[in-house]
Amino acid sequence: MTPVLRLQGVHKRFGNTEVIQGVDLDVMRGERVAIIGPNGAGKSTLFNLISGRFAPSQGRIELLGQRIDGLPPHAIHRLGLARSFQITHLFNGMTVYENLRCSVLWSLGHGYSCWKFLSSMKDANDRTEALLNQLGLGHKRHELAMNLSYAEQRALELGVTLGSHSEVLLLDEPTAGMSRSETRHFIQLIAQITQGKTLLMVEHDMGVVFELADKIAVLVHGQVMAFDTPSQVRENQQVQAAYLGALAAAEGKHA
Amino acid sequence: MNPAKPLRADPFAVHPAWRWMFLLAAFMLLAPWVFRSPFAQAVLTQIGIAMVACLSYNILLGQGGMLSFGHAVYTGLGAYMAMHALQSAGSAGWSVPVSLIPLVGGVCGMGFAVVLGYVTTRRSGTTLAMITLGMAELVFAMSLMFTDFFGGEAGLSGNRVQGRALWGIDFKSQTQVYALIAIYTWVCVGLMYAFTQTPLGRLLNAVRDNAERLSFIGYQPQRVRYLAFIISGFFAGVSGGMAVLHFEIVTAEVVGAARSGAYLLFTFLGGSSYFAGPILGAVGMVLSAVLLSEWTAAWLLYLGVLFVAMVMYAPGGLASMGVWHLRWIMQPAASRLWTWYLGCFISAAVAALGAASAIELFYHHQLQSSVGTPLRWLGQSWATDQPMPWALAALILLLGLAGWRFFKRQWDKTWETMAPPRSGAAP
Repeated sequence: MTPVLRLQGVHKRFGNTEVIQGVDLDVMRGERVAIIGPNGAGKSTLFNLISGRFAPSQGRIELLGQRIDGLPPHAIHRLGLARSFQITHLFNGMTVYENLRCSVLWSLGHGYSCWKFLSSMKDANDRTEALLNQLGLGHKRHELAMNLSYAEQRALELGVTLGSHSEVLLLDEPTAGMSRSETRHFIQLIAQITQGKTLLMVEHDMGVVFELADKIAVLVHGQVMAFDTPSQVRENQQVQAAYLGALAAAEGKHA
Repeated sequence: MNPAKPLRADPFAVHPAWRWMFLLAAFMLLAPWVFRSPFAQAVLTQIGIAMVACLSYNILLGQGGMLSFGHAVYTGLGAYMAMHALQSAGSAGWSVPVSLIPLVGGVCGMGFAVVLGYVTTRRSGTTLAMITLGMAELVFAMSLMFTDFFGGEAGLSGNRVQGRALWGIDFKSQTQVYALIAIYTWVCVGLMYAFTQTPLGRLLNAVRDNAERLSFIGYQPQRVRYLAFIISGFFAGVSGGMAVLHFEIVTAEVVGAARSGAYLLFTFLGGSSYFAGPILGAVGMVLSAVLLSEWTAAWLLYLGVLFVAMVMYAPGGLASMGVWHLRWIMQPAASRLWTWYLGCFISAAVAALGAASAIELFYHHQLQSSVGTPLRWLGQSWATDQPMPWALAALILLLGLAGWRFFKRQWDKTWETMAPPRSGAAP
């Protein structure tokens, strides 16, 4: 079985700084992979390389058997990959409903058409409704995205990512800035909505990571230090020393 | 028993936009009976032409977030091509019916948008604005270089009364021209509204709000901007073609920077965030050019001041001011606000009068005092070399400003006591 997403020797340099230093990663269909690592380890950069925001300086990325490194974001999306952003990226002047409806259009084949009315596109409207209900944003459908609360904006951010029913999903810190209870609730929502999808997620909440992920990739200094099941990663001495230990110690101090 | 058929929705139920379209049609039908003089009908005709131009501009500005300083390129080149079609219809063997001349303008405007827009829409924001400025300069420079095509200083003129008159429609009278242009305007307004309800129209809003995110849901922002630019170019060209039929002359100023600036200014004044905003703007554009310029020599100065004031204090334009008024008038306790509202309104009017008096005095003093004629203003004769008129103007202005300050404060206080926190602030 070939992986849905395969990274081989991926490097990224910004000037003299090498942020990603040779990453190899194979993600199988239906796996949920959490990417963890200290700040500045290159987690967001890795997502930006996979989703086409930046082109890698070196190496090869394959999505569903097709080479995607260097392709623009829209082309990668069309091959079956969608992503969310750590810093909320929405269509702020548009309503919740319109935000979601935009996200479903391409995958339903409506393209750039200007000879059909949106209101008559049953498939797009039905899928938008379904998304609204799943996200629990039905009562906010006419609200402008910029007027939503922070947690609602995060939910909408997730919704815009899911609208296309893409095979592979990259979620960049979906719970960033949320309270503990909001995070709990939100993670349940993610687990439920992304059933059957291949999921890569950057997440800082270790509780969430160990609960949700099938596999964990530990990224340190632009390299994958470990890529294994949660229990294996927890036992990994190197990871303990480099990251989890420090984290546990830090959390211990806070508690 | 028959299986229950699903109940159909009311077959006569139509999209609410049709009500507005119907209203517009009714207004267009009644207007020539109310305004009978050829002059008034010429003004109405020009308003129709300006409406299509400003709405087409707002596809870029309001809907797509593309600040263009060169929209007159597309209205203007459309007009030139339409004029050539009109001229050749009069002379050559083949001919385009006069009533289809605006479509010639539209197709040509679209063609120029296909070529020039490809470069323009590669980028967004400031870069795009700079490119449009460059394009406008380029085309204006060409209009002075290629005199065969552009007619040089004198421009080109044509004759709309030609060919076989169908059902006695020969476009000799202004009313017939008005009728033709009203039909074009109505159809174009409808089509441009319909455009906002299509996927491309919505994607254009998305490009305006967050082009990068759009690229991550499968669309190329450049492509969306480019397609919208072409559509905008088509309607701009139609507007240029309509102007050809109305004026029967085209000069280089139709592709000039002042014309582009006017589209920007009045679309903004009307309100670029509402579909109807540019319609209001177009009315203002024609009325100020035709009436205000008759009334005062300083009309461009007033427009400039108005523009600056609107950008600073009411960036949503007339349309959003209208919506704001509706909102507070609908408040249950609105009656408590009326006193203060009228106070604000009157003092603003007084302040404006004072400022206008000062401007008129100044203008007259600078330009006319050597001639020695006193200023005629508000039915009085004002001597600009005496201190009294100046003091009076200053007094009126200060009185108005003081009144505004007082009433505005009262308004704010009352508003705060009654309004729910998030239903918008005072203007």
